[in-house]
Amino acid sequence: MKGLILGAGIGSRLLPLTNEIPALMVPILNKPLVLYILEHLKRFEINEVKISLHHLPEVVDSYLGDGEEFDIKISYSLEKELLETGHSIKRIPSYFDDTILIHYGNVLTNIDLNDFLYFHKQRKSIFSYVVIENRIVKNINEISIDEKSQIIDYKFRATDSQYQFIPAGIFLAEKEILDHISLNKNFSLEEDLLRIICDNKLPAFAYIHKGDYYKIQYPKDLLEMNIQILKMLALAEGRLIFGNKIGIHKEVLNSILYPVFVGENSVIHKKVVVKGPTVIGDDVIIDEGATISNSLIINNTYLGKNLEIENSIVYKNLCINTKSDYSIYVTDSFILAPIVKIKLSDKIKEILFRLIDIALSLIGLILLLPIMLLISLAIKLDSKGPVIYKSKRTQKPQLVDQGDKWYRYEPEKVVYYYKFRTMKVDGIGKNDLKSKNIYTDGPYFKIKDDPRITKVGKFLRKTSLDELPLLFNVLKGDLSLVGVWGLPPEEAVSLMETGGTKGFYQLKDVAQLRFKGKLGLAGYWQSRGRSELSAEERSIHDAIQALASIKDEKLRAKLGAYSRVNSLRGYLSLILETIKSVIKRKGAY
Amino acid sequence: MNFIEQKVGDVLVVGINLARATLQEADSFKQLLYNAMDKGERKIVVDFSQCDFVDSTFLGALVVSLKRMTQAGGDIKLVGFRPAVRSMMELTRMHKVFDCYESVQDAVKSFS
Repeated sequence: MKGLILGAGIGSRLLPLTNEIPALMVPILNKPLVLYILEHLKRFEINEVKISLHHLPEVVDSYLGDGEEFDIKISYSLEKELLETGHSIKRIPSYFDDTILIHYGNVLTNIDLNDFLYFHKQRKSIFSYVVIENRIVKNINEISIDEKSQIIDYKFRATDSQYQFIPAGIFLAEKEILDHISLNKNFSLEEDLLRIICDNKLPAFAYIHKGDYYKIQYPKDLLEMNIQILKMLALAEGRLIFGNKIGIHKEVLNSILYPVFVGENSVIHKKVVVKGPTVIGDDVIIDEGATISNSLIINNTYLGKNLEIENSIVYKNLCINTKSDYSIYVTDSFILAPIVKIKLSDKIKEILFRLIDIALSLIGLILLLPIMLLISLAIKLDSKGPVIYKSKRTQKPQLVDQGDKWYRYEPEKVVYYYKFRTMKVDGIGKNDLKSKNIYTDGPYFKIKDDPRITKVGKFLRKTSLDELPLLFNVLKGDLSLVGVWGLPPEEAVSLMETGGTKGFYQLKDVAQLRFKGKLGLAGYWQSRGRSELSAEERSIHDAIQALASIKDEKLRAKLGAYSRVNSLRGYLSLILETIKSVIKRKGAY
Repeated sequence: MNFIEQKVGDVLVVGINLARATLQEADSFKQLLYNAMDKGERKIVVDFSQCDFVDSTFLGALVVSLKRMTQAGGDIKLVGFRPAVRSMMELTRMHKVFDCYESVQDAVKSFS
């Protein structure tokens, strides 16, 4: 079954909080509300969901994306103009291929959706409402049902509470209900549709839900919801729950009144009093002497010295008192303020890495100059031909249209790697090797006792000294110190076509990931045993390294420890490890 | 015990009893699989349910073993991915290289 979450509403009763955060994304114990809904739907095997959005859609999209990370397929229906609930359904008829579950974006329940579906199917209902018993709320739409649960009457904004049940914001719909919904943009599922159902005696039923039900409409609901979940978790996991890297002053820790939740990277200074139930988000700073009780402090908020917060929701410089619904933006940044994270942006990091490349390669070239001169001399004396050999390498092969629907891979960005020449100029070609029964094993091949190699060349290869001129390439900017080893074009093409490891084509997809990375000298496999590793193992190291260099925060989060390639420390340590491995001469020949 | 071996019918189930499966243990793991293959095992299931992190060297050991196994006409199947391991497998597209199952039972059944 597919789901549809109605999340276009502005959440006007939560204003001004919803000016900053769309109603779907308000935090409940640091997780957006919509995630709780998705998890509930997933539990009942709803694996595809469409979300209708209008207000701040980019915030929702950038968090949930296509849902891959959350193991659910998510698409969006963007409403340029705010539409009533009926219209949100009417405009996506192609999404209806079977019964669809429709769920308000501000409602949380523990309803058994399988039971609801059974109820709906058994009665051959075309539209079913989940209803709850009215708890003395007035001025609300009420539903009346017969003994078979069919909806027979409704009362619009009842003042004297005539009927017992009110709609809960969860529905099951068959496609034919679309015929009864007009294109009127104010068409509501809880008013207009109920009227049409009752007038035409349509087979629509009401399923009574008696379990938990929360509707987040007002700030007090949001605080209440946080506290409810906190209490449930506190029972399960001890009284204080906190994330990584938090700093709480020792005295404060001893005086906290539980239950309290503290998110990641939050700091609580001395003389602060925290009275539970209280939820503190990520990256929150509470300065000396402040008192916080029964409140929700949302991410990235600074609370000033000696500040007193009670029964409130605080986000950056906005404070909402949930008892009075009074809200205030504080302009004095010593009292309340957003925390601006100073983080090395990717751009700055890129420049930094380039500077390191220039500095280290320059130092290396100067220090190694005498050795390089000696090597040049030795090569000249040993065999005829130039000192430097230019080896053609490529970043990645590119699909080229050959016409007539024929495509061919061609190297995209070609770079010439400078190396000391280690082979004879009038050497033997690869085909001659085959005649001597020497076969190579795909793009990652190297051959022991290659007859083409000169005496000096053999020594240079063994010591990896043949690769010293690559420092010129680094200085020039052709490649970086850390990155994926460039392949000769024909090997890159064969990797694209066959996966490159002979007789093991399953690995093709993995091996091709390497092309996502930039070219470089040092890397995972170079630092871990060099040619000792099999082609398969190296292709995995390369794949992961390439992935880690992609600038995508979500991807990095998934890669965990591997994303260290992107930190300054990781960059330097990979260089060091590779140098160490080269000096040990492990696996190079 | 880093690896727990268990026979289910003619299938060898190797449980990885490590929270972090990394280069320290990759060699002994590869050796274990190679030994099993030498002894004639052709149906192996590797159970990751105790495992929170797998590094590239360990993945490498798995793939090399799979290559050897497929050449010998057998198969190695993987089960029990926790979220972090699962996303690692998906990112590196390893889940396409191996047959992956939810539970040991499912994997064992798939051999018959």
